[in-house]
Amino acid sequence: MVNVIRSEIFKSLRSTYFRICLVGGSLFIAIAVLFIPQIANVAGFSIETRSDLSKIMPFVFTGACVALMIFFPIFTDIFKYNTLKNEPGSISLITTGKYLTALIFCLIFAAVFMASFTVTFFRLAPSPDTDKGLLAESLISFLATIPNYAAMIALIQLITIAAKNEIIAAIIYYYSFAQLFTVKLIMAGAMPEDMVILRHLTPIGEFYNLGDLRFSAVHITLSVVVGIVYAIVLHTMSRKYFMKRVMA
Amino acid sequence: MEGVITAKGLCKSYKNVSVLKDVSINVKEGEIYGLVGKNGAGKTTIMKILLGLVPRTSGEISLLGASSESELRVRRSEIGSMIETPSFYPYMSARDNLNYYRIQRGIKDKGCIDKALRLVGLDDTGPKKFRDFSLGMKQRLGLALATLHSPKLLILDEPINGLDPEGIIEVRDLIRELNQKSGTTVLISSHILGELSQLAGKFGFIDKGRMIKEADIEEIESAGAEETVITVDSVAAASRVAASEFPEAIFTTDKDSIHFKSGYSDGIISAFSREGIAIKGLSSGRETLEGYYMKLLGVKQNG
Repeated sequence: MVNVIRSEIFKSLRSTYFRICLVGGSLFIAIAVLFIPQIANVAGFSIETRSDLSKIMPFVFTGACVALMIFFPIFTDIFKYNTLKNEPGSISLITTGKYLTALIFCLIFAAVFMASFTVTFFRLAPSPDTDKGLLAESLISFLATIPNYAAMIALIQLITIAAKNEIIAAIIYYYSFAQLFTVKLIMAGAMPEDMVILRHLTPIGEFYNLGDLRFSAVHITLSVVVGIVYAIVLHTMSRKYFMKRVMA
Repeated sequence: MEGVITAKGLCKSYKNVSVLKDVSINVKEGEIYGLVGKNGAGKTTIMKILLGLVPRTSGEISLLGASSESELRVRRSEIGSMIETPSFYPYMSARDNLNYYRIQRGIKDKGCIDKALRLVGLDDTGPKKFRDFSLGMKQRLGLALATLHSPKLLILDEPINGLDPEGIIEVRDLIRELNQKSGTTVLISSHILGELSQLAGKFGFIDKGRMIKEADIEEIESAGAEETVITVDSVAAASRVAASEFPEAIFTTDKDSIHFKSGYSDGIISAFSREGIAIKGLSSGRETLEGYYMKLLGVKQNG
């Protein structure tokens, strides 16, 4: 498995398209997070103190789902270039190997995000009454999104196996699953606080919840569990579906 | 000698269409085994099943001594293969493509890439991307990948497709060298039967998903050893003379020749000359793979 992941990283970094997406995506995240106050201002939010960050983070977390689309080529290249026949010894490992590769690249985005967030946090004015421990809680919230991003990557992999083509897969993903967060935000706004548990149903929902940045430990744990369960179920489905499709 | 590839009763169906029917094949260690058959006969499907790229509907397989699914998975990683037209990542060079598979297969020796590229004559392609390769170069890279890890078994599906005459000779020599120097066992298919007959020592003839015959080169060559072919200006007259004056002779005719399967004697030539039948050519000798195949298929079709 380690060899498959190493080879996938090697191959991805040889692709000009992927390198541009990776560097471009990282720059985009860095710029977007470093200039959150200014961007939020354009969108009609006022971010003046550190505790105001929670107003915008649900949008940042959910919006990042679109950036995950750069992983489509990792999953579709074997179909696009018909290279699976070169890998008779690795077929059973390919699906998980590619999934873990995408996850590793995702962690690069995560690192860029956390670094940029920390810089932005300290650039904002402190609000002594409310921002005690906020940075640590924010970073914990952010770490809790990773299993949910892992679930979204598993979903992307499942879609690519079904579509066998990154353009079709991207269209399906963007116009269906990536739009779910809009629905979720509308629903969440209308949902009473005592029914907050109902928000814990999908990874998309968890992005909204975790964007609160001061979510309780119980809810953070629940978010992580939801992400892990979705990631495992979706990836298992991808593996089974992949074997069924290529071994037909 | 233990079979490097042993398959018994292989069957493959796609939905309700049966593409392989009870195929058995036995390739011994150090052998070059040629699979012969028309397009769609089932040659590639056999190879894909052996490599685990397609599941079999039924039947048993043993590869390099392994027969359980878990053992087969391990053994398959030790096989070198090239199925149909080689496919690689177009945005990478020959070296990068091979390096990708070297890492994936856990081969520590980086020198194997240079060795494989040198072996197929692609060591001077530099940064040229796979997408800019000619068909012949792609074919060579496919062979380089197949030999990257010095496999004990090579499975090659139409490896000389698209190669120029010089390339065909080089690939033939390469396969022969791997077989003779390293003892690599080779299962190979090709439409170019003349080439295949120069390489393989044993052949499996596939037709409509069935293995209709397995024969070694000696058997094939001796099958037509007694045949004498006389090309004449009038096949009808020659046939009449042969039938009346040499009743013990067994022969068949085609458009311009009379083929004596047995009972040929020099007297036949004299008789033809005496009857004014012009003799345009005379040949006798070994059966060719092509001739054997055509007859085998003809017998099968008539039978």
